[in-house]
Amino acid sequence: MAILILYAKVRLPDGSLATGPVTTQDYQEFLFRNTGSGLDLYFYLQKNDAGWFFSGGPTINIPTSFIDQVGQQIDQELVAR
Amino acid sequence: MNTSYLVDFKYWLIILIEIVGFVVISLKLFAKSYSSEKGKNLATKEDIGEITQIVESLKASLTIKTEEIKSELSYKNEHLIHLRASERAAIINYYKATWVLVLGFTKADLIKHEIDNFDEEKDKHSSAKTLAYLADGELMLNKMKEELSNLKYLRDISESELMFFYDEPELAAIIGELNLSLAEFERALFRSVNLLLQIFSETSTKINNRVSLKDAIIDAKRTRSDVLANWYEDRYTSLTFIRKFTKSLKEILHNRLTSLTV
Repeated sequence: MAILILYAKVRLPDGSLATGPVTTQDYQEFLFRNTGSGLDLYFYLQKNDAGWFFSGGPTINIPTSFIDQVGQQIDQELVAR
Repeated sequence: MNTSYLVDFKYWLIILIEIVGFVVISLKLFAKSYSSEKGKNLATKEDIGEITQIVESLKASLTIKTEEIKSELSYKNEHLIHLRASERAAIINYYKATWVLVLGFTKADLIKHEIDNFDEEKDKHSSAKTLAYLADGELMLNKMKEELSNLKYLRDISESELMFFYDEPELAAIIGELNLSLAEFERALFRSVNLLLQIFSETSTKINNRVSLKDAIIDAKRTRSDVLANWYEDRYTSLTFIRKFTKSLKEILHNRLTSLTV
């Protein structure tokens, strides 16, 4: 069962925001899905010693900045808990 | 040798008078010496009695005084112990009430899943059922607001109690900063809750006005997504400040608690 971690924000290149839940099954891999607009944006991300990285999702390239933004919010949320 | 005087009466009379005289004088001297000694002893006895009486009276008054002092000290000590116990309880209550409120804000569950599964279960959902979910969601959010207001009220009381015992500028400054951060946290939370209530209300109105159920829920989910993302951001910022002030608060209160045991 997916565990809700937080609702995250991603600033898109056009200046708009994508917002949506970040969920996880195992606290290793996290899924962000945009639910704040009609844009079909979702991706999986994981963290290693080098930082957050894209670990799955649509075949289109997801900018690293999206991963970094969501990753940073996950870090903050997990520390805050 | 002439011994005729031995039969002379006068001679024996003189001897008898001399003996009697001697005995009388001796008795008189003895009586004088005896009565003088006896008198001395009696006087000493009387003096000792008087002194004993004074000493006993002093002892009694000293015992009463000692008991009075002991009783007064015991009362003061007991009062001080109660006062310190009350202050200790006030410190612990305030710290506890503060964290109960912070956790109440932090753990506030704004996601009621009333619209989350719509896409997956669209065939099973009816307008009436969705309206019932939304009404439940509204009820829970309003209840949460009420519970948080109660927690805030309890914390305010514990703060007054603490300041009654421990009104120090350093503590007052930290509490002032903490209260500002808590007020900001509360504003962010209540703003989010009110926006969610607004979303539920608007969605219900749309459904009642025969707007497509799917469209109404998609709109609601989108708006809610933004509200929740803002809430998580605000929550993190508020918590950062609150943690900073609660750390200082903890130090001050801990020091005070330690000083109460000395």
